[in-house]
Amino acid sequence: MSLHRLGYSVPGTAASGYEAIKKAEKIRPDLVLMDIILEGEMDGTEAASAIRSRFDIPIVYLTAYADKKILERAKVTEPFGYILKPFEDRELCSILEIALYKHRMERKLKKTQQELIQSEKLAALGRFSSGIAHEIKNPLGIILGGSEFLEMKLSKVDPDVKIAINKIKESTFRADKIVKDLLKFSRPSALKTERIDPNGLIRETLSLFKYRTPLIEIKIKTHFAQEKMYLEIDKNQMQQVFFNLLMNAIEAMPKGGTIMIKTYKMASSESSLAKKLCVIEVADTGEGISPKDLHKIFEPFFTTKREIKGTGLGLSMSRMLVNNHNGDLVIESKPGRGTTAKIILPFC
Amino acid sequence: MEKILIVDDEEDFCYFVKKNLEAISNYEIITATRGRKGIQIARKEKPDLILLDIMMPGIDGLEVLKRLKGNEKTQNIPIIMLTAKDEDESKIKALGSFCDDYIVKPVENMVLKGKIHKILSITK
Repeated sequence: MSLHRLGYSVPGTAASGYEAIKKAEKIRPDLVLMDIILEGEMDGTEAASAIRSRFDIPIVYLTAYADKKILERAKVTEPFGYILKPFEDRELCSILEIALYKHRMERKLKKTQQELIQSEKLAALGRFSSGIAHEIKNPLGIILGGSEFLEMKLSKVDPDVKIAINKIKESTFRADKIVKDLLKFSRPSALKTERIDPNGLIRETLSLFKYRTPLIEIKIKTHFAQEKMYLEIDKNQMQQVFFNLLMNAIEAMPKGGTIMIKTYKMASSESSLAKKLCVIEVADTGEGISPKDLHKIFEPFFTTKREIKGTGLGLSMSRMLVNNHNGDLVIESKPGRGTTAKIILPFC
Repeated sequence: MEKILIVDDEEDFCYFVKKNLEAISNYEIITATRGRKGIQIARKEKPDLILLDIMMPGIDGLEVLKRLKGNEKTQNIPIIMLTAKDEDESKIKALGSFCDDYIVKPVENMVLKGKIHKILSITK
């Protein structure tokens, strides 16, 4: 087939629309070449529509039919190209290359749009929280004062009362922490950057970490880049991000496991200038995040840790801080196998 | 017995701070729920220390602070801001007007008592 000759691999073929959908789901190819008339009840446009919407795989029609009715049906499936048989290799190659490029750009645009929506949400949250924070802190002061008053008066009478009052106090501190975290969104502090060796920063944070968190059944391993690396970053902010990621990793492994921390250099795939990037990776061997939750993890207040009282602000806050450094925070996860968080930062 | 004035428009807050501090100390606690009233009481009663809220209707706490620290009769009374405002800007303004400490609500009674005790022991 000419596709092989043109340098493409063809991991599968299908004769019916149903088979095409099944194989697309399994193989996840970069592109599907689709005929209109297929075996079975489902035609090519129906199969294309399902593949495009369910798996976000671009479709190029390759068919002998070009009557108006078929074209109309094909058009609404938003194909990336339409090739009429017979065709020449050169024509096929150029249409495929343009389709693949267009799809890559479309994905990038979607990602940017999502990030914009997310950052707009964060900004709105910041404006909102700044306004209400004081209104919440005042009643919290009264709740805490009232609880302490009751504690003095009643806890000697009945030990259950002491437990109840402690729960009220704990909840007050928790609500206060949420308000404090929210306020950080409303006034992200200005960056105080300095030249920092990321490996040194990690070692320092880990040494602080040892004293703060008892690590039962959890091993922390490190693998640092051999060559010297320097980043222009705000030490406190990046330490906060790294700390958040470490806490997430620990909380993902209630029965123990291993945290692997790595640093390495990476070339940017998105820039023609071959920008050099530094990656700080925190990988755990925990429960992982289900695919349905994975796309929500950067949303403020989304948490899978209700039982250990997570506020749902850690990751959205961390990504905002990394974005402020022109970097990115990426989370990859496989349920049952673990989660890897990558802080990606440009070199100075 | 040291006299402490609380100036805060939240009556319930004043009530619990008063009750809680009285329970663990020998302070005499008096309260005012408006800035203007707070200034009057401060001039008249000469408390040993003032706990002062910022956001209040009428004259706010920062203005009260300025007036008390700018008046001969009251300038030496130590003032702790006790407020829900947690912004640097507000802290800088208050410290710039010579408040003696700045505490953000909610605060535990023992912590509050500790701060009051520390300031009183310095100013004595």
